[in-house]
Amino acid sequence: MAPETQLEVQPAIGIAEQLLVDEVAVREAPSWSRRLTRPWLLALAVAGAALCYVGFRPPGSFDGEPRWATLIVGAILLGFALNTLARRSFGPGYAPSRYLAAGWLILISLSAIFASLLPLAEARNASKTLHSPILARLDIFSHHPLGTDRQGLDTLGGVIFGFRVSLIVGVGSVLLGIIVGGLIGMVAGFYRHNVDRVVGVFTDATLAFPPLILLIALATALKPSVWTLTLELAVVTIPVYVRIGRAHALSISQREFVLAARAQGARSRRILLREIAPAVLRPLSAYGFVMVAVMIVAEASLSFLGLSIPPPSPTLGNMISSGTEDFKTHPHLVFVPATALFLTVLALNRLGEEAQRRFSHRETKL
Amino acid sequence: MYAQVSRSWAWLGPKRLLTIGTRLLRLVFVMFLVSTGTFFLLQLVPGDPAAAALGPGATPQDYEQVRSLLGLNKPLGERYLDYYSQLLHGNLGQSLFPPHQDVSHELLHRAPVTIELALLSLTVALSLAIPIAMWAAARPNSYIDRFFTGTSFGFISIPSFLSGLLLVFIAVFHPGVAKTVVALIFVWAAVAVARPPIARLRSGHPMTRTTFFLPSLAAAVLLGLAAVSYFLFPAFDTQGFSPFKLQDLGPNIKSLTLPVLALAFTQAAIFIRVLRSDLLHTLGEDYILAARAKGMPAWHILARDALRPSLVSLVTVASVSLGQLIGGSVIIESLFNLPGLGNLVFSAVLRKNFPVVQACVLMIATVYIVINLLVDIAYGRLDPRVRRGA
Repeated sequence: MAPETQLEVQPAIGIAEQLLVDEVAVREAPSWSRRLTRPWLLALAVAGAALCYVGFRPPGSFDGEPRWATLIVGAILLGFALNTLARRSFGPGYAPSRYLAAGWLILISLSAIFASLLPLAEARNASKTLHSPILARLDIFSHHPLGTDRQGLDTLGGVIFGFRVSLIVGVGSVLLGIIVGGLIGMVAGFYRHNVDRVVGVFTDATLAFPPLILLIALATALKPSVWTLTLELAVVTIPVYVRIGRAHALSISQREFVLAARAQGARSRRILLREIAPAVLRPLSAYGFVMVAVMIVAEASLSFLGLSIPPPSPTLGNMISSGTEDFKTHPHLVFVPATALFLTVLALNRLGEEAQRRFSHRETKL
Repeated sequence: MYAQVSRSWAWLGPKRLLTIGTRLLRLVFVMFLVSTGTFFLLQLVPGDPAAAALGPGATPQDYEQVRSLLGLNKPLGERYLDYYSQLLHGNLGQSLFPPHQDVSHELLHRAPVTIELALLSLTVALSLAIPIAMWAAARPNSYIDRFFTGTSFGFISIPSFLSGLLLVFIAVFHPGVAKTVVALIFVWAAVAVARPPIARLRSGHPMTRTTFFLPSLAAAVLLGLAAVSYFLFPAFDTQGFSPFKLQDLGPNIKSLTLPVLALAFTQAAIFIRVLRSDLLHTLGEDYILAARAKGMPAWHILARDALRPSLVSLVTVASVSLGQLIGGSVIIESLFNLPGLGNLVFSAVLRKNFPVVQACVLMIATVYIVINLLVDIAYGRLDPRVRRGA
C-alpha cells in the first residue's frame, strides 16, 4: 500500500525524472573495462613497464620510430592499467590529476630554484661542451638523460633553466597584474561614474591591441631580459585584471557587509582596503593559475619568434626554435622542450580549473 | 506573441539604437587612443628608421635626404600632427623599403590571406566542435564524454606554434603515419556512430529515419572519408603558399590545410568545453524534462530544443577567437611562411618599417573592436533574456 500512496503524492516531474534515471542506468550497463579483472590489469601494467624499459634503454640499434612507438604504447598501457587499478581500490572519489598537476609544478619550481645545485651537464656555455657528444639521443640512464643539441649543450639542463625564465616571467607578470590591475579595477568598480568611465576607456584601448602584436612591439622597444619581459607581459595582464577586479568590486560593494561598514562610519579608503580588497583578492588569485599559463605560452611564443632572451641562455621557446633546424633528423630537440611546456601549461590549467571552481563559485554570475 | 516579435527586427528599438550609438562613440575614442598609443610606442623603439631603410653603404647626404623625406627631423609633436592629418585623410603612408608602395595597397594585398585563414579555421573548429559537444553532452560522464573532455583539455594546453610543429612533423615528415592515424580516427568515429543503430537492429526496436537510417548514412560517409584520406593523402609542404583562385582551388586549400588545422584544433577544444558545459546546464532545465516526458527523441531535444539557448557563450568565444585569428596568427603565418597580415606586421616590426606597423595595428584593432561590438548587438538577437534585461 505504501508505494502507491507515495506515487500519488509524488509530482509528475518526479516520476518523469525517476523514469529517466532508470533509463540512463540501463544504458550505462557494465562497460568493457569492468570485464578486465585484477590479474589481467597487473599483467598489462608489467607488460607496459617492460615496453617502457625497452623504450628508455634501447638494445643496440633499436631506434627511430619503432623505439618511440614502443615507448608510447608502453606508457599508455602502464598508465591505463595503474589508473584502472587505483580507481578500483580507492573508489569513486579517486581523482589523481590534481595531485599529478601539483606535483609537476612543485617539481619544476624546485628544480628551477635549485638548478645551480643540481648535477646537470653544461647547458648554457657552448665553450665548455667541447668534449660532450653532439646531438646525443635520449637515454635516461646516461650523462645526458634528455640528449644534447648541435653544440653539445645538455637538453635537460636547458629545460630546467628555461623553466626558471618561464616561471619568473609568468608568476611575476601575473603578480604585477593582480596588484596593479586589481587595485585600479577595484577603485573603478567601487567609485564608479567618471573614474569607471576613464578606466574603462583605457582598458578598452589596451585590450583592443592584439596581445601578441603588442608584445612584439614592446619586445622590440625594450632590451630583452627577465625583468623587461615581466614588465611587457604585465602590460597585457594588467587590463585583464582591471576588468575582473572591477566586475567583482561592483557586485561586492552592493553587499550587506559593505553597507554595515558604511553605517558604522567607515571612510571609503577603509572600506576599499579592509572590506572589498580581501573579497576581490580571492577570485583574482583564482584566475592566477590560468593567467600564468597564458603568460608562459606568450613568453614561449615571443622567444620562438626570437624576441625574448637570446639563445646562449636557454628558454623553452628558443630551444624549440633552434631545434626546428634538425627537426627531421633529431625531433627530440623540439619535442623535449615542447613536452615540458605542454605539461606545465596543462598542470596550470588543471589547477586553475580547480581554483576557479572553488573560489569564484558564488561570484560566477556577474 | 513573443516568438513573433523575436523573428522581426523589432528588438532594434530606439533605446537599443541609442546604446549602439554610445558604443560607436566610445569605439571612435578607443581607436584614437590605439593609434596614438601605437605612434608613441614606436617612438620608443631604439634605432633609426632612416638608417634601417638605407642600409649600409649610404652617404650622409642620402641619410639627411631620407630623414627630411620621412619628416624625422621635425619635432615629435609636429610629426604626430602630420601623422594624424594624413590618417584622417585616409592616407596610411608609404612603406620605408623598396618597393615604396602605399601601405594601404600592401594591406589590401595581404589581408585576404589572413581573413581566409581565420574564416577557414573558425569554420573547421565550429564544425568539429558543435557535433562533438552535442555528442559529449548527450550522455554526461560516459566514455565518449570523458574522452572528448579529456582530449579537449589537453588540446587547450598546446600553444599554436607547437600544434603547428606537431602537424608538420606528422603530416610532412611522416605521411605514412599521418594517413593511417587520420583513417583510424574516421573509422573509430564511424564505429561509434554506427553502434546504436546496430544495437537497435539486434534488439528488434522499431527503425525510423532518424534513429536508424541517418546514423547509418553518417557512418557510411565517415568510412568513405577514411578511405579518401588514406588513399588520396596529399604530400604537404611547409612552404609555398598558393593564392586563392576560384578556378583552381586545390593548391590553395592544400597549402592552407596544415595552418588551418593547427589553428582550428586549439579553437575547437575551447569551443567544445564552452558548448558542452552550457548544453549540460540547459539540459538540466525543466522544459527539457517536459520534452523528454512527452517522448521527444533525444536528437530532437539536443538539436532543436537545447542547442540554441546554449549558443550564447559559444558566440562570444568564437567571435573573440575570430578577432584573435585575424590579429594574432603571427606565429602560424611565420611558421608556414604565409603572406598574411601577421607575417607583414612581424617583419615590419623587425625591420623598423613603422608606417606599415602603425597601419596594421590600427586595422587589426579596428576589426577586433568592431567584432566585439557586433557580438554585443547579436546577444539580443540570440537570447531574449538579455534583450528583456536591457
